[in-house]
Amino acid sequence: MTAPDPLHAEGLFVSLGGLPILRDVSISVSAGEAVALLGGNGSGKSTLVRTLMGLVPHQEGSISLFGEPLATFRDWSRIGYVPQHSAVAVANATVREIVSSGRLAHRRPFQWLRAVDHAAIDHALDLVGLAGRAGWPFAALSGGQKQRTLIARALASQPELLVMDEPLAGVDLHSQGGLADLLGRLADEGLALLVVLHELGPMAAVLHRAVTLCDGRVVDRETTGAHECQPGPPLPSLTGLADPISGVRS
Amino acid sequence: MIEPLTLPFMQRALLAAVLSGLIAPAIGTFIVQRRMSLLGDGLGHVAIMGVGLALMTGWAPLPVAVVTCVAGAVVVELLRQHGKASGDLGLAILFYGGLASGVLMAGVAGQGAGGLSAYLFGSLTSVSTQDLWIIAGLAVVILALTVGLAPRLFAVSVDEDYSHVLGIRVRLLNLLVVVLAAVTVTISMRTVGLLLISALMVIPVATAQQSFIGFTASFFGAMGIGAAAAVTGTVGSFYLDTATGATIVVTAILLLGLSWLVGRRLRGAERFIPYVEDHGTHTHVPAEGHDDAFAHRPGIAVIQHGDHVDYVHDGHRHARHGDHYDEH
Repeated sequence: MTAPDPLHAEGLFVSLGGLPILRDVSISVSAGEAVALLGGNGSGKSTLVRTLMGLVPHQEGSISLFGEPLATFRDWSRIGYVPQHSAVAVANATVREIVSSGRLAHRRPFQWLRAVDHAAIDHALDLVGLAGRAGWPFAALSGGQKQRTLIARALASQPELLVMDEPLAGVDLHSQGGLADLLGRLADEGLALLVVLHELGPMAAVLHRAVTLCDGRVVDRETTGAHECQPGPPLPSLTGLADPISGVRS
Repeated sequence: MIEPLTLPFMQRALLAAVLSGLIAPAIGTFIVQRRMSLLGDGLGHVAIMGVGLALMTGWAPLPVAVVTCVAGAVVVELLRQHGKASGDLGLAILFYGGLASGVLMAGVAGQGAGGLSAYLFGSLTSVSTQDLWIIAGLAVVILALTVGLAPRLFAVSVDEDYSHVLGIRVRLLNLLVVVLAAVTVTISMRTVGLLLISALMVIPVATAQQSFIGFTASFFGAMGIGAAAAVTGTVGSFYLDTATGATIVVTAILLLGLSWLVGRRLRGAERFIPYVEDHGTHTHVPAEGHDDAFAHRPGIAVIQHGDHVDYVHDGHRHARHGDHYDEH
């Protein structure tokens, strides 16, 4: 019997504030596979990733991580999550302190950093090429360096699945190439990757396949193409929306 | 300095103030990170209700205020976590309701607002031995929790979503921070006072963030600054015969101003750079040769300029470009 997929989700339906965001979405990532999640603004990419990580509740469907249902999954050190760097608010912290957080899934409360933690943090900083910036304030970094810091934070937990939300957003073209090289090396080492992207760009060479979302549904990219994705049926007219006071559809 | 230390009430007041000076910035670090700097002020209002209740019933004020304030803190956090649109209004009603009912109950007990002023602004003579035991016990618990859980609390304050995916119990920790803040506010009411303790949770943190790089350095730095302000302010209030809390907070503000001035002076050396036009695309002007020893000569300022280092001397800015130096 083969090991279960790091990530497997079927038939996901997600509504936020009464509006359907994801409709019947299924996605899986096997060990050692690098998968892109594509789609335009508002297609539901970020919601899907946040749902898969348990940050947004789903109304229907099932999610399993390494064969374990999301609700009972506890082995979070196997997962590395990289949110968009603009979501991180840091008043005063060094690059190394941010990356150290990645070790918390391995440490009990009240447990200080052990030698094994320091080694994993150093290794993660080395991988993303920020070893020389470890003592720098996070706020003083460029967009690309911030993104690399957050990738290092995820790598510090030595994950088997890395999930990234638009890692190239706000990163200049030169740094994008560097990030793509890094992710390619990680995929070669057997890390499963799920990467939300607005467009493939320099990541094209790294990825094995892409899943395209359009208006909350998975579409066949071979036939439609990411850029030809038409917005689905027009928004329901105002009379079709739930009454904001009673919550009852008119 | 020796004379006040021989007085038993001064010894108790100093010990209580130092403990407040340590724990208020420790918990304040996480309150400031969550952009809830005024939370302590609101909780102070709720604690006044506890003091009023104690005066009316004749119970010991400190334990009653601790219980009332913690209950208020739980309500505050639940309102926040459930993101109710009316949450903001709910907080206002809770805070002002606490203040008004506290003053009202104190009045019923025959004490006007004047009777409350020792609790609002701190008073040297009001720390009893029993109070000191309660303060010391709770302060040790707060220190152990904030320092021991600091890595987790830091991760949550930086990035809640990421902390969830690490398996950290974010809601529980957020609730813990608010409850610990409530306990900190109440056990500081004898020394710093309920209306001023919030300042000691915020100002040393601001001072430390200005003076130290990195979370750990500024976390422990803030505790040191808080303790220093508490000692100076307590002794100062003895000699000046002023409210302890007010003296401590003014000291903390003076320390913040001092750190700002020192920081400005240190950065001033870097800022005074003779302006030389960017060389743009025209041909480079090779500067006289520099070697590594050059940077260490007196009168040479070494500054980071974007992705490279400039050396400033005699009105010139030089930067290494391959095997030679350019004028910058």
